[in-house]
Amino acid sequence: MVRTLNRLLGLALGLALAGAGGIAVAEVILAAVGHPFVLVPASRYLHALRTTQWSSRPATVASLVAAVLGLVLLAGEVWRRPPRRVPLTGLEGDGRRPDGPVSGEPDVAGADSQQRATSDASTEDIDWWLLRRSVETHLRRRLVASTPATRARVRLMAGRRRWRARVRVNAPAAARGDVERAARESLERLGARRDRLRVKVGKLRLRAVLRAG
Amino acid sequence: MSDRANRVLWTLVALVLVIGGGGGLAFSFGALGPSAAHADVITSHLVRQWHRGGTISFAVASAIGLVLVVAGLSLAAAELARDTGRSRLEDFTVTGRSAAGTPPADGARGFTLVRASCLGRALETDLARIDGVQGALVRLFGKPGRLDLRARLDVADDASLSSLATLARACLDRLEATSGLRPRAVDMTVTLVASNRPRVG
Repeated sequence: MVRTLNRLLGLALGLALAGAGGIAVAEVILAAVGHPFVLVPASRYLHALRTTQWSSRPATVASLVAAVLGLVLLAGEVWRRPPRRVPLTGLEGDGRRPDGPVSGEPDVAGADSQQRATSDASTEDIDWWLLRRSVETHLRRRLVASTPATRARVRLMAGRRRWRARVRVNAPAAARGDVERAARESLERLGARRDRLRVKVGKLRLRAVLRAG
Repeated sequence: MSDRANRVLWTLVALVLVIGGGGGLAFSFGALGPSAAHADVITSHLVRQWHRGGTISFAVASAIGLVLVVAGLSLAAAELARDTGRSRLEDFTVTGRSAAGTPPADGARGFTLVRASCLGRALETDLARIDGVQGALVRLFGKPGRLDLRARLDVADDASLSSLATLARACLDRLEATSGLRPRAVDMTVTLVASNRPRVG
């Protein structure tokens, strides 16, 4: 969402800069040959700026708006967002295979020895990733299907070293242990290391219920 | 443009706004002295400089305008570009000649034109045949000698991921056997989707 917005804003900024630059060039050339401003009422703007003091109300308000807008934008960009993809480690040939034993080794059922022999001949690393949203959706589906939870909302923050899942469920308090266990099992199956996985289970609030559908 | 580049861009824009707005407020509230607070936004000194500059003033203003046009169009083009600006693999030819230009000992001649899109589609089909893979999208970037591969796989959430890794590697082996291309960087993104495989009760 923010990524798309950034891209759209970038496109708008680019077109605005190009437009402003084009108008500036045209007006400067016209002014150089003695023509008055034609595309924008620049004379009026220049007159206004030449007769407006910094201490005047419009200048103060404009500065304040720019500063506040900048701060809001800065906060929005600096704020840590969940990554679009999370590393899928522990797979054969994965370039980011962590050191030491992986307690959450992905399910190996079905990989026959012949396929392993083929892959052993290859040397290049494959970077494997999981789309974070799909993991959240998968976990939500799984929790609703396999625990007493009737609704769930999952937020996953994952990096190369640590996975943190915040799960909110609409379930009796006594069932929270089951929910946590199921969430852990699912995430470990996807390669999260047991000792580096934190799952926090809470109650689904009304606003979250509406969002979870 | 990549997400990171956009974040850097908007952080810079935000900093410009904060510094500009903050500077304006400093002027407004007299932090830089009462004379600064009562100065006009465009001072008569600046106007005199413009008139004194004559042709140079016009040239500088035109140059700034041109820079804005170029920068703005470049930014818009970068935002509209697919694949974050990376160039896709183009069609290429495979000849029977060795790297030194000599024909092979068996006398084979001629060349084969390889359609890059066909290679990508073939790999998609191969990947989609893996048990549990419900869809595949492949993009090949760079040149035949420096090939980068990016793929997105829709994988059933009950599939074995280890098995998937092994079988995907076998697909890459087959790609190499067919085309002679070995990607130097492979980036696979798995999207977990609800399984549409029938369950046996």
